[in-house]
Amino acid sequence: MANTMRKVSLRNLAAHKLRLALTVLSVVLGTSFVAGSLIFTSTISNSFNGIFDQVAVGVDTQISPKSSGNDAGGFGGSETLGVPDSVVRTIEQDKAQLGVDKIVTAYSSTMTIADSEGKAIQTGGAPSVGANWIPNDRALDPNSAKILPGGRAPNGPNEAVLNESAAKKAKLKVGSRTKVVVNSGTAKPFEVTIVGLMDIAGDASGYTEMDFDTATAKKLFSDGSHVANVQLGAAQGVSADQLKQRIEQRFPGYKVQTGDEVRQENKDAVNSFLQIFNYILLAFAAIGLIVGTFIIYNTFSMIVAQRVRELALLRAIGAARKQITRSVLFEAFVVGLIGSVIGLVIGAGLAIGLQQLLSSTGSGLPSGGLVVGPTPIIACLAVGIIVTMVSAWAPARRASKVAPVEAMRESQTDGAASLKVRTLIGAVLAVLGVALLAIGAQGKGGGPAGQVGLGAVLLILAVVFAAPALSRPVIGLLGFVLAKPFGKLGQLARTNSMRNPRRTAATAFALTLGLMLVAVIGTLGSSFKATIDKAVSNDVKAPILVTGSGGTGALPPTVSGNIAKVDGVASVVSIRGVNAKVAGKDVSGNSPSGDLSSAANFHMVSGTDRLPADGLLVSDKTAKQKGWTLGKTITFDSKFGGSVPVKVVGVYKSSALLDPWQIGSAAYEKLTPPQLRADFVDLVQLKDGADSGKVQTGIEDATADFLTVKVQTRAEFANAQAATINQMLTVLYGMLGLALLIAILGIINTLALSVVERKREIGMLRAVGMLRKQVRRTIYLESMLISIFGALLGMVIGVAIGWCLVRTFREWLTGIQPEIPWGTIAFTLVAAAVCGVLAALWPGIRAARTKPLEAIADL
Amino acid sequence: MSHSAGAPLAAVPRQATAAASAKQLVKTYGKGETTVHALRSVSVDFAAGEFTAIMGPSGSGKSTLMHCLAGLDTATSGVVRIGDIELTGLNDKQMTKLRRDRIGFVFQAFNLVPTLTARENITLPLDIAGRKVDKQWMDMVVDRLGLADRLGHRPSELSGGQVQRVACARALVGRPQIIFGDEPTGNLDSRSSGEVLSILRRSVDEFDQTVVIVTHDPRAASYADRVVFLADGQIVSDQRGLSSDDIFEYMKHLDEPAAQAGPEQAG
Repeated sequence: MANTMRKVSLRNLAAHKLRLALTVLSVVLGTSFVAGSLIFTSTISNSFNGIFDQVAVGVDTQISPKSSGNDAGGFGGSETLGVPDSVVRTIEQDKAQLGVDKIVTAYSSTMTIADSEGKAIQTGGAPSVGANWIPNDRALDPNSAKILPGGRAPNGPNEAVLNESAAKKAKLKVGSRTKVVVNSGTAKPFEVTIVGLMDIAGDASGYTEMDFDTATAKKLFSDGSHVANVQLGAAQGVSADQLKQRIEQRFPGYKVQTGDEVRQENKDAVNSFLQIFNYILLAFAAIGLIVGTFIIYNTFSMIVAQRVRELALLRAIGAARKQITRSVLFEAFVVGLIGSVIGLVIGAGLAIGLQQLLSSTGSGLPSGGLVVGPTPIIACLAVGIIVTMVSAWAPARRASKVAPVEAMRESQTDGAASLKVRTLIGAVLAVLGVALLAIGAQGKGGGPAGQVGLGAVLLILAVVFAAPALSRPVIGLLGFVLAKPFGKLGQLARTNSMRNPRRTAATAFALTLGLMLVAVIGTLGSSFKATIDKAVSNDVKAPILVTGSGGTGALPPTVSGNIAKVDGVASVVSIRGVNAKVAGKDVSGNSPSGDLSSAANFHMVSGTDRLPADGLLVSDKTAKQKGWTLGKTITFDSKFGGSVPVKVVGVYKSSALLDPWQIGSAAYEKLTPPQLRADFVDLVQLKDGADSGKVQTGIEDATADFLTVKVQTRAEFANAQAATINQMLTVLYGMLGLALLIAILGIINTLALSVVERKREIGMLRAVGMLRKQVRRTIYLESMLISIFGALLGMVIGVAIGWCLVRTFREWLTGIQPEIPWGTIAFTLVAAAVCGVLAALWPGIRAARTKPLEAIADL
Repeated sequence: MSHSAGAPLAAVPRQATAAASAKQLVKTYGKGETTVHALRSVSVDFAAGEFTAIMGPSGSGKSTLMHCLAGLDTATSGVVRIGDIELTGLNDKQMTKLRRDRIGFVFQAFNLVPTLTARENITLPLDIAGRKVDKQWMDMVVDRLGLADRLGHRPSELSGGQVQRVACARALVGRPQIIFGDEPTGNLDSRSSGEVLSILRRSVDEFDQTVVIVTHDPRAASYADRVVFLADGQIVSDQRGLSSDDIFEYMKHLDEPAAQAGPEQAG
């Protein structure tokens, strides 16, 4: 019998190819993202590893400064000056004793390079650095870098070599002259002649490296007494580990690594960056799978409902309940297997596409062969098959409960079972979820945000349980409003969509989940934007803001001098980032170069808003947190030696832009060596009667040499900040696309199957005079109502979650207020309705083709 | 009644008395050796205001004849007319409108939309046509059929007999040129059958309605003015005023392989 049952399962699958295709498709959607993300990250990480294997070859030991672990604060990038020359000198002297053969010192810093058109080379996130050229005979690995034929090594202050891939991208050749800017320190923009192109180990698309001779590099990139790092080659008979140990003992307080460790560090950094990619893609996969689960469940429920008679017949002729369950599960297994295999193939394609997309946008990712390890294959197959079988489990059990006598009866496929229990569970979950949201929204910070998150999960579960019960009144009402103009057709559509609440709810769930995410994101986005708009217009007096647009966003300090000379500019106040230590703890804040109260609005709580060169202004929030109250003297310790006592002269009301504290210029200069100084923003005040537009153009011209300077009005600045947020949200909006796609497929699937189920009824309607277009319209309306129901549910819950989440953000962004994105909501609801109609096109056409005779013919 | 079907009307004047007619109707299925001849040149007229039953053994072509007459199926050749409209050459839209506006249907099963109430089911063809319901007429029909207290119920809350009566009411309310019933009492017990059949009978007698039903039940056929017998795709007998016993006897005779002539006795 087991064999016979399997035959029945397989024949069933073969007999309903369309149904099979639709079910398989829902499995494919989820699994292809699982496979795609795993294959993509393993491929990329593999090619990165290949590149890094060529890095630091021949290096036995590398000495570099220890990072303080607080890289986020410095707008200029590096927080350290490097390794002091004294260390290099000591090694030089004790070469024999330490077992050192070769010493290579490196000078480097981030810099911006103009392309052949005078615009900054876009690296797409990859580093753009300047360094010293190390001739092959002095390098630890003679193959690490070569000057390509036709070029030569740089010599003198205005000569440089550029790596080949960057030169190609920037359309620069040997002999080209181009502008360069070192991003921090006191250097001004200058012109160099490219005298050669480098073929460097580990050259990847996007990576930009310009090398100068050592004397020039030392002048440009260091304060004159430090090097960025020191690489050592061991003398014969000394192992890398031995050398590392000796150096570590001799120079504690520095980071000492073997070549292997340097390579591993690079690989780890890339892998942790790739991990983020992986998480995003796996999140897509999770959404695909969760939503897919509902579609698969729906499909199998309907298949079982349609096969009640057949299953009952099998039971009547002696099939055991277990056999029926197993037969349905076997069908699910086959569907899961086919879906996962296709998903794997599509996933590989997805990985290739993603890789090409990213390398074509020049994001600095290397291109290499596709790597499909066993992990993606196993994960994809396991996930696909398990999810399918789990989704089919409940319908399979239901199938086994079919009584043999039902074979003789007219089949009743309406979901008549009571919704009471699940609705009750849903209601309890909803109450708990709402309570958590409400409690979370009262607080601020990580804990309450976590409560909101937990509440959100409970609400999603509540929807799963209670949506069927909710669908009747909501769709009833929606239908009453929206379907009214369509008369009888509208009424039929409305009653049809309320007919089987379980099915309606499961179909709508894909939209609910996807659009809930959209609503959360939309609410966060609009709240951030509103807050920034408000902060900029409330806190900033200066009509023009100048910022850097390079990778680090830093502005060389020399820019402000150029701005001050522009006609119509009254004053320029630069805001600099400050990193220091107070009582042994890292602190970071800002320092204005001049009188900040002329360019920004302080709402003083106590004291004065005039900041003396050795004074400190703090926000009331900081004052409270750190105990820096008015009149107190705080001692700031520089990370580069020395300390400065400053007196708190004023406390202002905390605001998004002015938090957490502002320190006077003299103190700033003592805390930050010139080499590491960089501005975060220059606030420009105009002379009375000066034309803002003209001044803006004037500043743009005066700072054009710096390549990455952005000159914006207050409104433009606010918009640009919001645009940054929107960009970050774009990735998340991708989930909307995916959820919508799956939702459409789910709706197509459900409608197609329910059209088959209602064939006789539709045939009867056709017989008594319903036109084809009327049949179609009814199906469109039905689909639209289900879609809007799903979207509405998602919007309401999403906005609620977003609203509460924003409230908890007050901890990090002072003055943030929830803002409901009405525009997004309206757009999404309309989009959902349109998607509903689109999804119904094909089922509608199929339904309209139903022959009236099918109502009468004995099936 | 307007014929919004916009059918190309036959130019030849017709006798006004026929509500529906078939001329040399042929319907074949399949090709070559497997060809099935469901109808072999059937010609028949149905006079207005008459109750006709089409009878015959299984596979005689009686259902096919009705489907072709009612615009549910198309004939291989021959001409079908509903009133003065010729069905040949009508497209799906015109055919659908013809069914909606000129024909009433009572099927054996799946007569009603389960999500609509009895009242909504009754007015369904008029509603989808966008036509106004003649309130007085509707009240009268509902009243005569004993459905006045059932109008708010869904089909699942009605008995089998009530469902068929609602279907009759739906057919009558549009005042169609002709009502076709496809085994309208096939699923009913004898009491409910009687109710439904007398409704159809009365609609002919009192409202001057034309009714054609297909049935294999001699008792049902005995309600008709005229009984048309089909066997092997041809009309083998066409009689008036038969009793159910007569019909039963004749049917028995038809089922015998060597059935030839019709019953000799007259009414």
